[in-house]
Amino acid sequence: MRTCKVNIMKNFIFYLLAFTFISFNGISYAQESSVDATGTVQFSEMQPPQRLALYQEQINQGDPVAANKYLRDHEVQSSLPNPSLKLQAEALKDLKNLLNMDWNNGNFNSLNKALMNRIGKDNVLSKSDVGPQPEKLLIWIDRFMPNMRAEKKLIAAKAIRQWEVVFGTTTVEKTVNWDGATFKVSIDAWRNNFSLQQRNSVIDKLVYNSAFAGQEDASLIYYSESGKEYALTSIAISSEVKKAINSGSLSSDQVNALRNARSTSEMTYLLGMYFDKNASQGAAVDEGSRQFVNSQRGSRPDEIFNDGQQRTLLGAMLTGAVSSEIKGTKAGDKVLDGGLKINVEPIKSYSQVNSDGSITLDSETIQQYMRLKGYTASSVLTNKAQLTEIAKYMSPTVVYQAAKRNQESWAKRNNVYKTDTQEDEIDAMSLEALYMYEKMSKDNAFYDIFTGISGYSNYAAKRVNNVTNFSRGQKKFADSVRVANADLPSLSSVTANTSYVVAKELERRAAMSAEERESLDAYLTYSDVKTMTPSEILSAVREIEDGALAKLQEDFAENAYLVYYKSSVREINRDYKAFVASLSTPSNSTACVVPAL
Amino acid sequence: MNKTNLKMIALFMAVLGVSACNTDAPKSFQDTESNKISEKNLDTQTDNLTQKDTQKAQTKQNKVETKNTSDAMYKQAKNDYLSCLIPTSWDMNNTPDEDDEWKIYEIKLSASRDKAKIKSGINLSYFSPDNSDIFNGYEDFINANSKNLVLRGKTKTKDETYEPVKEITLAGRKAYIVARNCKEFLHLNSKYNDDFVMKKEKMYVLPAKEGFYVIGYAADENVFDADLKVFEKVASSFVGVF
Repeated sequence: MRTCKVNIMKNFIFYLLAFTFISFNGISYAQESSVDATGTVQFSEMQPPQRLALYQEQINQGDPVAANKYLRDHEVQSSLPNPSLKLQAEALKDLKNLLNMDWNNGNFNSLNKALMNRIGKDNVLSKSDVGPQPEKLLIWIDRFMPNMRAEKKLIAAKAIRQWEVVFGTTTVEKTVNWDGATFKVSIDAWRNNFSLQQRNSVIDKLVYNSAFAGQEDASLIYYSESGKEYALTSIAISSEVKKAINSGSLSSDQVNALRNARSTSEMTYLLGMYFDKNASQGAAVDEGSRQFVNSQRGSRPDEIFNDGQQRTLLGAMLTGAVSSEIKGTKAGDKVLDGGLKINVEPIKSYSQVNSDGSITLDSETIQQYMRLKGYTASSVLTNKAQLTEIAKYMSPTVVYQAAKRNQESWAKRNNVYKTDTQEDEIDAMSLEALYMYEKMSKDNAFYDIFTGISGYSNYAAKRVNNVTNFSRGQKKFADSVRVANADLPSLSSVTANTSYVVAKELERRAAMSAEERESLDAYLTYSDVKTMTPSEILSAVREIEDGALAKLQEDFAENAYLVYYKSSVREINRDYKAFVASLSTPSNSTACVVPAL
Repeated sequence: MNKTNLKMIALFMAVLGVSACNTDAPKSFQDTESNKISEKNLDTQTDNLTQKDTQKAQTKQNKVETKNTSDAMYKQAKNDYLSCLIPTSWDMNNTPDEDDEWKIYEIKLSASRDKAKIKSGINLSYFSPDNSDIFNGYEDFINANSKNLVLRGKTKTKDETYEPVKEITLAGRKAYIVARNCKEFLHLNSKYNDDFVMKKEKMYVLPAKEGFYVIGYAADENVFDADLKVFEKVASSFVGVF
């Protein structure tokens, strides 16, 4: 009797277990699938069509684990190709990777930017029920990343600008003054109709409005990158204005002009004039205030070099000097093929590559080096040794930008669509690191420049930091570049999202009647499309010509840029290894340093 | 159905309920996964049952190893190259496609900590002999990570300190400890954002018959000590296939 009871229980548990697995999978495949003695569904024994059905079901529900399995199930993919499902799977995998990155209170606006490319109407993730409403992301996290801690979920909520997190739980409506017109935004409209872009616009407006009124809206300021900068600068400048007025060192005309200033930039301009040591009515102010105001106002050409002509001359001189500097290095030779033309201008980054292939170096960064070394504009233009130092100092960022230029040239030459991605950064920063490593190892003057002033120049310290990270392992280096550039899309997410939008539009057009096709207003050519970002393509897809859409689809299917990227990075790695192996000095030897214990 | 049967069913359902709440994957595919969707380098297989009762309900198929220490819950994780205990509260960020690309196979864990500018991370990596990274063997790895090669082998600068490499025995294997504190900028190409972190790292480098293993821990130095025990627990549970 007892044995019988045990058998009944065993059978019961067996069926319960089998039923449970099947229920959780949401597909009735019990009859077709083999079930072992413990009730285990032998998934690996399922035929490709059954596996595909299971993947489809789960991927449509947003399951990233299923997506990953599908992408790695080469048997199913080759026997039953399903490009649309593949894009969905890529997008889910990319979303999970994105959310697994290091997001915190200091960088949730970058997550917001990254999500803007991924969540919204017509984005592939909507097919897996992640969007178009941004709040669906939080539901997805609850379901598929249940281990995510509450603090990190709050970061995600901040990134999607969830109403309760941004405006609090006590308000259900906000009034926004939009250039004179007033409108109300309700919590329901926010949840159901506002995209991430629209949410940001509203928040920016609220922050600008309160900053203009002389207040800092502490609850909103950190959601608005531009608003934050504007608000903090406005508040700091207002404080400097008060200090200057109260100092008693300004004339009554100056005080009146400051009081009547109608914008922050006008106040900054006036303060800059009054604080100018060389001005006839220079005010007696502390050095900190002077530096702060000077850092906020725009540069005057006469403060850097006498005029644009001098900057043009410096650019021409650096073109030759930097070319000589990088020539003969493995990295330098890769970028000199296309020639080099350097300009010098005050810009917002250390350097930039222009559409004509020339590279602009930031004059402020050069001037900082000159200040540290006590050089003047005229001495640099007349002293070859000083010019060579500046060429060495700026050469790593030239290599970085030239790598980016190579990427663009490759895409142009091969006539394929390319947009800025994390992979571009990995490639360019790897090439810069290869260059730095070669120069730091072989060129003592170069080594002395970068080790001598890295404590005073963050530009120099960052260059050394980059190559040091690279020298510790390149897989880890690539991971760290992705994290640092998380607001850029990865190549796979661009491919998944844009291909989906393009395929959907082509399908829509294929189903059109002749009459509907006649009225189609698609005028953007492939040349136009090549200059557009993925989000611009998304919003203008209906205006893109058939041929351009087909070409885009082909570009993404062939993934030629991915092949280029991989081959470029592999080559850099090979060159680095070869260079390290070629070093024979004991201090750089790659021989084992493990101590004999 | 008598009372005993009902109790057993209730116990069984409780087991399923508990196992669902501590897994990173959704219930649906998680179950499918734990039931033999076997692929090479597959995501770490995790089964996490936490209650005393669950131990009674273990089947041969669904073998579960649960350790409860004073400060963290652990579960067993494994891939084709290694296995270890991992803390259940940490995020797992494995990237199998990239692993295949580099021929470096990893279990990557991370956790956010208050007052830390970066996530704390524990990585268990198997570097195959033909890895596409820059390391021909464990000696190369130690060489590149125990001093600053860019600064011509310096082990101490204003921003960095490297500890001398030590040989120890870890999980019954010969291992080398590599440890360092380094300043790392968070925005290398930004002219305006000079934010940086002082990062502390500890790594165990284990030679293998083929290739080598690295078990590493990195965190903002402010919070490094807080998770050091967790790291040591993970490292001491390590079992390498090679």
